[in-house]
Amino acid sequence: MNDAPLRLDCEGVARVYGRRHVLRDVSFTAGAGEVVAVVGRNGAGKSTLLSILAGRRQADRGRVVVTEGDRPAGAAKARSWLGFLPHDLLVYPDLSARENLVFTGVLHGQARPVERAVEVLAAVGLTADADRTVRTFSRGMQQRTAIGRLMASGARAWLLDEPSTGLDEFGRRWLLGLLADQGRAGRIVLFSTHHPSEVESAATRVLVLDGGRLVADLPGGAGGASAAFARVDGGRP
Amino acid sequence: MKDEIRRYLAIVGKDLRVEFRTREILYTTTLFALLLVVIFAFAFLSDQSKSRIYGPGIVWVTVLFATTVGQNRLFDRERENDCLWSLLLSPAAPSTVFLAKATAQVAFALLMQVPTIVLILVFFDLQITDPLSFVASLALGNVALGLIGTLFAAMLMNARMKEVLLPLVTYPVFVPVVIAGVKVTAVAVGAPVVEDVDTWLRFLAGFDMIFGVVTVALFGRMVRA
Repeated sequence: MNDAPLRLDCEGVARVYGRRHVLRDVSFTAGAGEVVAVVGRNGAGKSTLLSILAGRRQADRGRVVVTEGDRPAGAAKARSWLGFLPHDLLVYPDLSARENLVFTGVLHGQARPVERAVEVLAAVGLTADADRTVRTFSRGMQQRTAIGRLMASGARAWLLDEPSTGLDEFGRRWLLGLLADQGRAGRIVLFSTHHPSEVESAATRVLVLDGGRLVADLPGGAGGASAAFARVDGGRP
Repeated sequence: MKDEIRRYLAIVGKDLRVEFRTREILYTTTLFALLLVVIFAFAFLSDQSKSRIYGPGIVWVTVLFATTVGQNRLFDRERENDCLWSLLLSPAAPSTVFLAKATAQVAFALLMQVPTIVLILVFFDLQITDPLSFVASLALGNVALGLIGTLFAAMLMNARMKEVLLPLVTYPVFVPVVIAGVKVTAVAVGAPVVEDVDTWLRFLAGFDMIFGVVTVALFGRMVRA
């Protein structure tokens, strides 16, 4: 990754569903190399925030700007730099894992999508099952395929909504190591989670959402994780 | 441009691969079309001398109904796991995604129509005297049905009653295409009608061009709405 560093600016983003304010004036900046955990109770606005950052949903107010160096990206360029893993995995169940990864590579303009897919399959531990259709996979294997999709896309900013869903303990540890590695490689990583241990072991920074507001922006690690989840609990049952 | 062509081919190839693996669209539309032909045969075969008059209508009604069944299924595989968003969030231009989906839809429709039309010609003892015009009307007509059907199928992908809604919104737009197709087919099978085939074919080509521009321009906005 020899390109100029990427920056993701979320400026006063708000979103309303009906009468319910899901996000209220959320602003922060994430820079290259940061692994940012987004925490909050159910309904705090984590998934909506990640969807808006990825371009999956529109903000009612505010904006998201992706910048490389000091140049803001156009829409197509921003789409090529952002990789999104939502709850719905965005993988085709009737294609094999290999076909899904090659297809993603071609869509994202990768020069050698077939060779890259082989590397990614090895990295996500699916080499032996590469040619099985995703429909026949367990939830955890489907999750690995979806994470592989991000790797095959060559995205420079990863946005992941509860990415450890469906993974066993080994898979979870592997994922957290992978996210930390992506940060060290200069990527921006934002992931939502309900688990303090995930914040502790992977995140360099924690954002706490409460009722759609960004109420805390803390450093990662053990101290940050406990402070963040204390804010999440807020003394409520 | 080269990247967009690669993306277009990848999306068409993906749709064809999934279809040949599952055969959902081809089986359902072909069986539906063949069933329609059999019903029409029982209804009209009592007077074979008039087959050249009602034959063209049967061809196009069968094409229309069976194509609609296929269009209803076109985006089902994009809906599962929310896969349409893997396309829309990629650097692929929305127009590339749309044209690729429409191409796949037209390919499925034409594959379904080959055995269906052969069966109609055999059952109704129709002779194609002007094959070039007939093939041109089918090609141009299918492109029109494909462009409009793909746009509305994408829009209605998550609608609860999409099977009912899709024909309701598309058929009024399809009517001119079907009329032109029937007129050209009538001349092509030697029906006793006086029609200018070139005019109807030009109409279909113009329809394709206008709706090609309109549907490509609208797709990105409508599916994101």
